[in-house]
Amino acid sequence: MKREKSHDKINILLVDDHEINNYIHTKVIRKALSGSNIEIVADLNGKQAINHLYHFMDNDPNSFPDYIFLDLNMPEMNGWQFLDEYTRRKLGAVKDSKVFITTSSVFSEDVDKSHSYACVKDYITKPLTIERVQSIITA
Amino acid sequence: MKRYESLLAVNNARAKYYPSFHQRVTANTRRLLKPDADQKLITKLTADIQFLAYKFSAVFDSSKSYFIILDRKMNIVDYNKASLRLVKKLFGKKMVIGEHILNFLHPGSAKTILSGCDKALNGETVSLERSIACLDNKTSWWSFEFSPAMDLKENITGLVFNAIDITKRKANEAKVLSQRKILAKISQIQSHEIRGPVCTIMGLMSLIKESDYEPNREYLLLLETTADILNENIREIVGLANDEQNNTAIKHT
Repeated sequence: MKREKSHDKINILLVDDHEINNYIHTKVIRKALSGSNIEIVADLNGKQAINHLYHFMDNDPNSFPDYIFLDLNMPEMNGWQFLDEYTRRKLGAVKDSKVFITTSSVFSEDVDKSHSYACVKDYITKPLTIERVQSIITA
Repeated sequence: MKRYESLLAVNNARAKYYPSFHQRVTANTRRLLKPDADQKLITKLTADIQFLAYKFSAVFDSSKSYFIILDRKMNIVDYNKASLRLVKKLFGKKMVIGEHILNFLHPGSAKTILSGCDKALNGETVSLERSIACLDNKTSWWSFEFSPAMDLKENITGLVFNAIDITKRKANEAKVLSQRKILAKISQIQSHEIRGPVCTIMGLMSLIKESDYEPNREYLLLLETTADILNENIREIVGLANDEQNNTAIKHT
């Protein structure tokens, strides 16, 4: 079922330790979904993101992300550890968020591992493109 | 006559590796054992046996492998010179024909030796590789083979224990493994530390392309920052690769 762009707010969480990447991804997503009501928040590691999700859950459930673009290689809590915590704490039950691994890694081991998480919808090798974002959101 | 009977016993054990020699010696020695054998024949056949023994020793004792022939009770029937020298060097003992093999090998390898001997005496050829601690506390790697020794009627009369020093091969394998690990590590780092900034540059370029190649100042500053990060990461990886190679060279010298 396609999302009605102009009516529903689309909540997006970016998790990447490089602020430049979060900047680029924000720009790319806004260009890809121009005209849509989008709310984008960015965190610099998995731990921040988990805390952010709890904040949404407790204070603003409507802003709980619909889409999570998750980097793998991050300090403090990497992408895999985030996914383990996300699964262990059953955060997918709050809202059926779609997680997209967004990484520079081209290792097949990482691709295969990502398939073992039910919440992960796809594995995107950077750079994130306008076309890719459009295909994801309109799917 | 006892001397020739003893020769037959040794000969039987060697049959597996030298069948033609075995056949000739067996036939000639049996003729000697007959009561009507004359002196002329004995002289001729003794010379024949000595010549064959010379040919046998030339092969058996010039081998770089270590051979020990055992009977069904695992007592030593024969060994080549290399084995004699090796056992003396590694364990400080001189092998004696007729004594049990375990009297001359490292006690820690007894279980392996007995297991291999048992299987060989049941008709199975067993090959395995083991590290052994020697008298000088150095560890060496060995390839062992236990093969059944059969007579012409294919009765298992004992076994042949063959050992080859594979320490150098193992060291080379360890070196290759170490180099593979370095490559994997560099590959892993490259994926994140090199490809990461490259992806950022590609992302910025896609935004510049969207603005019809008229970049704003912010995009250009981010490109500059990312190029500097990329340059620094490459320097670090090259340094790491050099350090790892030097460490590996030191380990293997």
